[in-house]
Amino acid sequence: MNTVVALSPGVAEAVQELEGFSSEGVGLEPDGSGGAYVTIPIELGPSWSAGAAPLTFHLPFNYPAASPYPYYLPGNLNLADPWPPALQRIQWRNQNVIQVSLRHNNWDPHRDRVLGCILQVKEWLQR
Amino acid sequence: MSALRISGKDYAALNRHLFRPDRDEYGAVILAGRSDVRELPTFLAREVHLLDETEFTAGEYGYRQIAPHVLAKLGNRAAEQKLSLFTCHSHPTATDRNRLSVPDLEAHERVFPHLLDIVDGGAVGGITFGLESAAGEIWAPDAEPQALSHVDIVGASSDQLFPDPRHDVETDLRFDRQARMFGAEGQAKLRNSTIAVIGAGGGGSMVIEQLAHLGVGRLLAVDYDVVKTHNLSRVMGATPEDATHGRKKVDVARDLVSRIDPTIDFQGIDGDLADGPVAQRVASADFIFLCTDTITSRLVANAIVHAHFIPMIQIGAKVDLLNKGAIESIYVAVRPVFPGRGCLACAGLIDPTALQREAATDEERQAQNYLNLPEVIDPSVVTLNGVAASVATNLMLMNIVGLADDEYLDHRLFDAQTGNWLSLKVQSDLGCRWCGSNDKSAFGLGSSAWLPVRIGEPDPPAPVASSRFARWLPWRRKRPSR
Repeated sequence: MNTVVALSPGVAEAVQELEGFSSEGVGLEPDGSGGAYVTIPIELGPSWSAGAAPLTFHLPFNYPAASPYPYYLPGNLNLADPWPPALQRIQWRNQNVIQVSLRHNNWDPHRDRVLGCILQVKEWLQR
Repeated sequence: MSALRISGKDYAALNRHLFRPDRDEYGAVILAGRSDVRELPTFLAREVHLLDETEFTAGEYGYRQIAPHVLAKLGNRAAEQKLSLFTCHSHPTATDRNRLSVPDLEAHERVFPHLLDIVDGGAVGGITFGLESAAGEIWAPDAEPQALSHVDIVGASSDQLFPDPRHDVETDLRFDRQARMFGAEGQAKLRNSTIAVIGAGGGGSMVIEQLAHLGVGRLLAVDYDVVKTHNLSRVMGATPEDATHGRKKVDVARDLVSRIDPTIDFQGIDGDLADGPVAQRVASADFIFLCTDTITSRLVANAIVHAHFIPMIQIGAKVDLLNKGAIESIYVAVRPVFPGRGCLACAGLIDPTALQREAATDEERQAQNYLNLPEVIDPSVVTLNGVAASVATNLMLMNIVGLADDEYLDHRLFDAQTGNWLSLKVQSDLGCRWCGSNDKSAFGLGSSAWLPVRIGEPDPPAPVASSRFARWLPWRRKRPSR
C-alpha cells in the first residue's frame, strides 16, 4: 500500500536539503499535521561509546517560522565524564533517549535553516 | 463578478500617479494574486507598476496606450509569478461615476486575447479609475469577460470604489445615535461586514459584545476552549453554570450576541486558527480581531492579513512579575496589522522558540524544562481586557466607516500604572516572507500563498524512509509486519 505523506512546504524543503547533506539518507516520520520527526546519521566524537548514531528531531508544521529544538540521541549511548548540562537522559516517544538541548538563540526564519543547526550540533558532539 | 483589493499604501501611490494637476490620463499595471475564499473571487494587488511617459504613450487607436514591450515584459512576469494582470488608467474628469469607454473596450478586444496567452493561466483585466469611482472588466481563460464589481482599498480608512455611487440607506432606530456620528452609509458598511474574532475569552468576548452593539452583520468567533471557573471574572456573558457544565466559549458568545441583536448572523467555530479549514474561513472575513495568547495563532493570523489583505488588530494584556511575585509592569497592547505595513514578524512579535514550544507535546515540554522552572500562570484582569477591546473595536469602527488617520495604525502600548500611551511605528522588512516586497513573500498571493497551518494527514501517519537508511530508524522495530 502506498502511503501519501503530507508535509508543509517548509518541512519538505528542509528534508530535501538534509537528504542532499546525508549520504546515508534521512529517516522521516510525518507527525500528522504537516511536520515530521526527522532522523539523520551523525558522527560522534571520541568521548562517545559509539562512533556514529542517529540524531532525531521534530520539525513542526510551521517550520521555519518555528526553530528546530531539541535533538535526541539513542539512550543506549554513553559518554566519558564529564556529562555536560546540555545532555539529559529522558523518555521521549516511549523510548529512552538523550536530549541534546542546544538552542539557536537568534533563529531568523528568513535566513536560518535546520541544516545549519545540524552542522553546529554535529560539531559540538564531535568535541 | 470579481473584486480587486489593494493596500491603502499602494492605492495612495497609484492615486497620486493617476490624478495630477494637469488632468491628463496616466497609466499603471497591477499584477495580482487571487483569493477564492471570499464571497466574490477577489484579486489582490501584489505589484503596482506606475508607467512613465515612455511606457504609457500616445495611442495608435485611442488617446493613450500601454507600450507593447511593457505589456510583454509584465505579462511574462505575471506568468512566472502565477499572477493576473490588470491594465489601469485614469479618467481624470470622472468623479463618482465611471465607465470603460468604447475605445477602452475595443483595445481590450484587440489586446487581451494575446495577453491571456502571455500571462498563461492568470486572468487579465482593464480598470479605469475616477476620483471616487472605478469600473473595469476581467477576462479569464475560457470564460466570457465579466464586469469588475468594485475596488476595495484596505488602508487606515478603508474605502470602496464602484462604477456608480451607492444609494442612501435608512438606519434602524436602534443605531440612530451612533449613525449621527458616521452616517447611514457607515452603518450600512458595518451591517455588510463580516468580522472574525479569534479567541472568545476575556478580550475576545468584550470585542464580540461591542461588535454586536455596533450592529455588524456577520460575526465569526473562533475558540476551542470551554468556560472554567477562573474565566468568570473576565468572559462577558459567562455564568457559574457555564463553568460547571464546561460550556464552549463560542456558545456563550452566541447567546451574548443573540440577546443584544438576534438578527446578527453569528457563526461560532469550535476550532483552532492553526487548522487549515478554520484559517480559510477566517480569510473570508472583512476584518480580524486576534484575541488569543498563543504565538502559533499570531503567526497564522499575520499570514492571513498579508496573503489575503484582511486588516487585523491584535490585542493583549500583560502583567510582568519579578521573581518574588512583585509587579514589574502592567501594560495593554493594541496592534493593528494591515497589508502594506510592517507585520508582527517584522516587529519581533513572533518568537521562533515560542512556536517550537507550542508545537511540542506536554511530555516534550516537560522534558525540555530540565531546569524544573515552575509553571507561571499569567495574571489576567478584566479592566485591562476592557481597555484593549474598546480601543481596538474603536479603531475597527473608524476604519470601516472611513474616519481613521494613518497614524491610527501605529502599535500602541498602554501603561496601566501611569495611564500613559506609547506609540510604535513598525517598518516592513523587505525580505519578510509575509509582508515583504520579494518574490517569496506571501503578500497578495491569496489562495496560492502558504499559510503556516496544520495540514491534513492520512490516517494513520506511517514512518517512511529511504531504504538505504532503514537500519537507523529507531521506530522501525515497531512497524507492523506485512
